[in-house]
Formats: sequence, structure tokens, C-alpha cells
Amino acid sequence: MSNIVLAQAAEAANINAGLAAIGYGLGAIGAAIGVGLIWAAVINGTARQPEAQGQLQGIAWISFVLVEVLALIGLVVYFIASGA
Amino acid sequence: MSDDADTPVDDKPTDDAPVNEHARVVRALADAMLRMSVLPVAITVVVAAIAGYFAAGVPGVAGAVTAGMVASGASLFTLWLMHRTAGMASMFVLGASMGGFLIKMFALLVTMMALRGVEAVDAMTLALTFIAMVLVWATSEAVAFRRTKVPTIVPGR
Repeated sequence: MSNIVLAQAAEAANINAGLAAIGYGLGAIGAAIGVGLIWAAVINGTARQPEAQGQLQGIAWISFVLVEVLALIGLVVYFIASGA
Repeated sequence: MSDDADTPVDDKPTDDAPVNEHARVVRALADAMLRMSVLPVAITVVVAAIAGYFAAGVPGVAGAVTAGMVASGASLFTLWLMHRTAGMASMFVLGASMGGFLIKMFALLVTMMALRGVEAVDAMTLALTFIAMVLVWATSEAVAFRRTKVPTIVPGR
């Protein structure tokens, strides 16, 4: 019985890295959608109102930084979860 | 040869070329972000190094300093991109930002994989310091953006 438990624990440790990778992949989708929406909005806004280009790009960069943080943290959490 | 070839690309102020107001706004924002972030980032690295020393000894300090350098490099790269692409059209800024994002993620991946299993650097301190650094950078930049008085409409030339 204890051998079965130990085998299950070892197997769980082995799949941990794979699960972490899948989790990061799913998390990266959110950041990708966010970045795409940000710059799509900027291109649209600049096309409609070229006078606001500087303002829109400033907003886009700060939004990009905040979305990028999610992806960066996700990568680090992946390494923690995978037992690096 | 057309006259377009002699037009300055980055629209830096010269005697014969008008100043690109849109580029000036973005560059002012990047400078404000840098100024606002320097002190909090330095404090975070020092606090993380001290905490890392008590938690894991010298490898903890090495992990904190390494994470500080990598995270600061990533954020400074973003600010440099803002400067470089300030005068460009939005579609080119999109490409530059995505390219920069890709480079940063690849650099972080290479760093984490290279430091995996290295005894001289504590992995947990490295990871936690990196998360703290990224959050501090983002918060400082957001505060700088809020405090920077950017005009809503920039009049055309």
C-alpha cells in the first residue's frame, strides 16, 4: 500500500512541471489578448484622430507595461511551480 | 533622389526641422517614468538583498542582485523603446513593442534556465525578487504616468 502511495507521489512530482507549463501557456493567452487590444485601439484611435497620437501612445505604453507584468510574473511562477 | 530622403526620421529638434509634438510627449513620459522609478527600484533591491542574506546567505544576495539587474534591464529596455519609437507611426510602434516583448521574454527564459541548479544563486530569492522588482517598476511607471501632465490634444504642425 505504501509503495502505491509513494509511486503516486513520484508521479505527481513528475507531472508538476508539465502542469506548470500548461498553466503558463493558458496565462500567456490573457497577456497576448491584452497587448493586441491595446495596440489595435491605438491604431484605430490614431486613424480617427491623428492629433491625439502622442496621448494615445503614452496610454498604450503604460497599459502595455501593466499587461507585460502579468506575462513576466507568469513565467517566474512557472519556474517556481516546476521546481526550478 | 527625392527630398524625403533628407527628412530626419526621429524628428529631433534641429534648426530647420519642426519639433514632432507627439514624439516629445512620449519621450517626456518615458523620462518621467525613469525618474520616478529609480529610487523605489534601488530601495527594493537593497531590501531584497538584505532579506535574501538572512534567508539564504550569500546566494540569496546574489539572487536578489541578479533579479534586480534582469528586471531593471527589461524595464529600461521598454523605456528605450519608447524613446526610439516616439516619432514613428502607431503600426510600427506596435511591431517594436511586440518585438521588445519577445526579446524580454526570451532573455528571461534564458536567464532562468541558465541559473537553474546553480548553487551560487538562490532560486527562490531570485524569483521572489524578480516579481517584486517587476511590480515596483510597473507601479512607479503608472504613478509617473498619472503625475505627468500630458495634453489631450496635440495641435498639428
